[in-house]
Amino acid sequence: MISAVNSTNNNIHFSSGGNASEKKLAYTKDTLLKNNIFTRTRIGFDKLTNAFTVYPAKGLKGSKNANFYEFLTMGTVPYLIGSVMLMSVFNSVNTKYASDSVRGACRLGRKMGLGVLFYGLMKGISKPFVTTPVKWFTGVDTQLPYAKVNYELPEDINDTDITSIEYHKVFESVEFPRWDLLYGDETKGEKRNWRYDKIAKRLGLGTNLNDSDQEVKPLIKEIVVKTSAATNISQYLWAASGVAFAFQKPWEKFFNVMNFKFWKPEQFAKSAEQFGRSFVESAKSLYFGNGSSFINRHGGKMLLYTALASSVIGVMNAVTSNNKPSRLDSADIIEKDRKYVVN
Amino acid sequence: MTSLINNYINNPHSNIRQQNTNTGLPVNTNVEELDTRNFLKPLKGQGRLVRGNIFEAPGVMIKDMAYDTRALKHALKGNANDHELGKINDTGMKLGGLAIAAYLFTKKQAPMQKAMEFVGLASFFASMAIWPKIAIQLPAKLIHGINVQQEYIDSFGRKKPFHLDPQFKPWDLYSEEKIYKTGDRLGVPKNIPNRKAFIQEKANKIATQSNTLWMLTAGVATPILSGLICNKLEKPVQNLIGMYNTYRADQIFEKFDEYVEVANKKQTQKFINRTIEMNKGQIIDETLYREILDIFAGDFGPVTKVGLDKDLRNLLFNNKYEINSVTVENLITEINKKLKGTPYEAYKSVIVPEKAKLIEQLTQKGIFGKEHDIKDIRKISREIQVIFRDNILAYNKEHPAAPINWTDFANRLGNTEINKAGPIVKGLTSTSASRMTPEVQASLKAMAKVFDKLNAVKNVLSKYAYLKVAAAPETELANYWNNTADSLIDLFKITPEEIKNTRYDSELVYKLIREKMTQIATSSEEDYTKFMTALGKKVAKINDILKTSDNEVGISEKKTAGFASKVDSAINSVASELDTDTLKMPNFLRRLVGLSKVEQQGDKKVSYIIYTGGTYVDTLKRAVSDRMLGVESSFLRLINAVDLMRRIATDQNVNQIQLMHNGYATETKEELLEAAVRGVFNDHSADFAIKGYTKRNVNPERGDGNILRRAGRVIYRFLNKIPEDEKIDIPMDEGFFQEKMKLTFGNPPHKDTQNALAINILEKLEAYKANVLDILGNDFNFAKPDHVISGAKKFLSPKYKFNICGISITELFSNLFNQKYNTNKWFKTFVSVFASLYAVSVGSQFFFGKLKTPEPVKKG
Repeated sequence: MISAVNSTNNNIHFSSGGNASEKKLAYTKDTLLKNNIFTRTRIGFDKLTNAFTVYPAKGLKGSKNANFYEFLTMGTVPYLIGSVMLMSVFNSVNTKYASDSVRGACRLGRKMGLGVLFYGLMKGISKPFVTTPVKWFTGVDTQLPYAKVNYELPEDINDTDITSIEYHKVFESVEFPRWDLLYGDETKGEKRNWRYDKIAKRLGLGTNLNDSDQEVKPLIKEIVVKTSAATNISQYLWAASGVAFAFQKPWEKFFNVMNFKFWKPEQFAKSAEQFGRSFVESAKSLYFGNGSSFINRHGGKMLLYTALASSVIGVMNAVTSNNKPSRLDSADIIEKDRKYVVN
Repeated sequence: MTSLINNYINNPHSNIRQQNTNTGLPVNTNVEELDTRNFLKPLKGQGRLVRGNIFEAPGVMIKDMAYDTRALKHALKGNANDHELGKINDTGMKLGGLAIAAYLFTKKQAPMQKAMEFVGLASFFASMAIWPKIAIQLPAKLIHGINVQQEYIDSFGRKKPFHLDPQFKPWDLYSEEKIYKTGDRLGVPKNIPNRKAFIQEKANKIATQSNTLWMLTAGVATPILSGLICNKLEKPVQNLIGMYNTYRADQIFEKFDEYVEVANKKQTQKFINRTIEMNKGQIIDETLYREILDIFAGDFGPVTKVGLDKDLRNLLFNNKYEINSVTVENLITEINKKLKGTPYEAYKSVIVPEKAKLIEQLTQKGIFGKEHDIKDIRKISREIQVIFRDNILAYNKEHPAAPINWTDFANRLGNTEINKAGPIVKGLTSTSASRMTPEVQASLKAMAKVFDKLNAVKNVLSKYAYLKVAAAPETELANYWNNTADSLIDLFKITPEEIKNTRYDSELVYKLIREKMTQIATSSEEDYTKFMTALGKKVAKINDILKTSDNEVGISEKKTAGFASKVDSAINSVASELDTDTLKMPNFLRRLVGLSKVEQQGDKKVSYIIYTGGTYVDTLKRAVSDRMLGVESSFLRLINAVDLMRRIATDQNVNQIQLMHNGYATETKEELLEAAVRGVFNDHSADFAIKGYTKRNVNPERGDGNILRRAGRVIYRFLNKIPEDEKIDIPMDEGFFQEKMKLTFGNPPHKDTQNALAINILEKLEAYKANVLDILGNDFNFAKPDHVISGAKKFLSPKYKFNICGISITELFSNLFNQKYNTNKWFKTFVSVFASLYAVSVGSQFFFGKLKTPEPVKKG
């Protein structure tokens, strides 16, 4: 059941109601997007909004247009709700306990809450620890996004809105990467292989290659697989470091004065100031440890270095290709404009 | 299907061969011909549905792990596929979870907390898997007959959820028969057009709705379910660790010598050998001596170290001192220190010669560069005083107007006796002539060998004591406490509502428990005996802990071949090696095992310990017995309280009130009775120390002298008639405290109590009561020194009195209530949320899969 994919806006009408409510599409065909903070934020916001609104509504109705992308995007829902719930499990009942138990329960609960927060934060920010250096070294942006225009089946006779935009990554599937989107638009004067040329040059395959796309595709695939593996492993180790960081004793000082009432600037400033101090002290405490045993003194360090090693080794593995052809001398390269005599 | 096509393109021969084999077509090896569109038709799929059961789960788990490992290997080489990369994400998540659990494991102290970190991790992953199974898959199967979590293995051996992608479902893996059967279960009419497609559409719809429901509910359900699992596993994990600790402790006891052998790390020998190597033949100065002392002292504690210090000094120092340039320098320094701030400080250079000159003078006198014993030192001291005197006299001759007072100066320098050493003797004895001779080396090595053994014995005994009774979670004693305390809720029939209403106020807890006890005390003989038997059985379990330990100084006075005996035998056997002809350490042994006495028995001299108080061995034994005593006393106190209530209710064994003190006013008797009951519930050791401060009426109502009872309950006729603030403590009434103590602890238990406890802890109960009466009843203090029971005042340590007193009953229940309330509150709250969520999840599935059924095909 492969749906037809069309790259044009057909303006199909299934009812006699005219096209007054016709949706203005942001994209009329699958479009490569720039990988910058604005695009990422916009995509993130779009996906988050849809994950909590449109997709659940479609899914609960059992829409025939519900698809795997929507299901995957909805994965954010349990992740976020689960985080809040995990905080709640350790915090929401604490004040109901007997007074002498409240303090201990709150201390643990708040550390858990902070742990959940730092888990998500570190998991999120640690991805670029691998992908960015890989991009620097190889020119391959494994996170390159594109907008996919999806044509759906009408739900009923009045359904004129049969398009939807999905945000994917070019290398989301290593088996079926969207190579087509990486070709230049010759109608705009772009060289067809300009993106592949750039990568080939960065990978040391030389310039002016006849078929740079064919040369670099296997290498890109290899880089994407290795980067993806490294990211998948290292992001969770960084997330674990985030939890370990949240469980340091100095945070308790912050919990004592914790205040989020920004409309009360004095209290809020004091709270923020203590947050900074606890942050630094907790970082030291995680790194230097405390206690008499070896593991107490070096456990934090070991965790941090393991996470760091996973990123560094991941990057090194990704930038070292198994299939890269050996570097050629310029004399070995056949130049198009030169005449050769074969003996 | 795309995968199959892909497979064909990559490896046409193998696929074609399969095709031919299956279809019976002739084998054609012409690749060009094969690659024509005419020949390209769907290959027979090799996928299959996963139909596993619980017994296959371990095998499946191993296969999955092998797949994950292969996936990681492929990914690191850069040739993994999408499915494998997805699996690596799961592996990363588990790895991260393990890293968190492992780190938090290192941060926790108790084994229970450590274990719970991994239990928490496992429960979280388990919850992620369990929730869709119980809340989505099972109800969907029951309601619609569809397995929405069905998995299949594709032609490449990749395991995938069948309904993962609504746009791609390999329906061809289901037989038509199965699909039609599903349709029957779904209630799809049999005579509609395209029935198969309709059934598939309906199933797809249900699956999509179920998957969405899963996504929406998993976030709430997983953390709660994980928390609930942990909550329920806490107790079993605690018991498991407790059982394991008990096993370890018993093993230590049974294979004591083997454990000692393993624990002997020979550290003392290692350090001593190193020190000997570095200082062979060298003078043993104070610094070196301290170094050696510290090696031996280890963690024996300051008291034992004092004895060791004395013996080691005797062993290492030969009481001879060398007078060398260092000695002279030290001598001058000591004198200068002494003269500082005195009128003679200004004449220092006149009186005390320069170092070189002094050395010269001492050389001339034949003193310098030689070893001297203590007698010589006294003589040399006097010689030096002569030098100083000569210098003063010479000065005085030159300065007759302002002479130096020699006598005063000499007095300031102090005595020349060694034990009242002045600066001269201090200086002269600063350089010992003792050396690290081969004899000294041999002694040290022999001593180190014994100390290594001693340390090993000590460590193994401490480990045993820790596992059994330490003030730490999951020891056998802690588990006993928790289990016994927990059982009280059921035994006293306390409801969650009562816990909720009283937990904040200990006075309310006291009233509740008193009422519960009154009900038990006034119940029939059968009911009372049943209760007391159950309580006694629970409390008596402490005997199981005691079987290998010894509550020697405790309640029962029962001496068993337990821990204390093991401590004595094990330490004494090693310690005897420190009392030989070649190695004698009497001061150390006195502090280690006790004061010994040697007696001539026939031809032999026999040494035996006569007093062990305050020794290291005593401390070790008490560490166990005190802990046992505290726990045991607490529960025996509870039994005694119930028994007291029973005695009062039945008017048996309460003769202090009825018979002995008929002279007491009725109101005083009521006060006494009330004070006894309140005391057994609430008194701490401090209350006993102040003889139970009780506010009373100074002009009590005499009445008829009888205590009024109705159905076993005491009715106070006078007690609370005057306002509380008009009552005072009457310190001169020594009989009141004595009678209160006798009433509570002096009378024998009720016959029903005796009958119920005769088989297990009656003996202990009686011993406990006698002990409390004796120790706490005769406690001496300055406020009411004469208010003692027997006249024999007791001066036991506050710690011992605290232990014999046990926890107050009100406090025991208050703590228990808070703990129960906290756990129940959390559990109830989240069980409610979970149950509601489950109900909504299941309920909503009844509305899934609604589709307009096509019109049936009309016949004819």
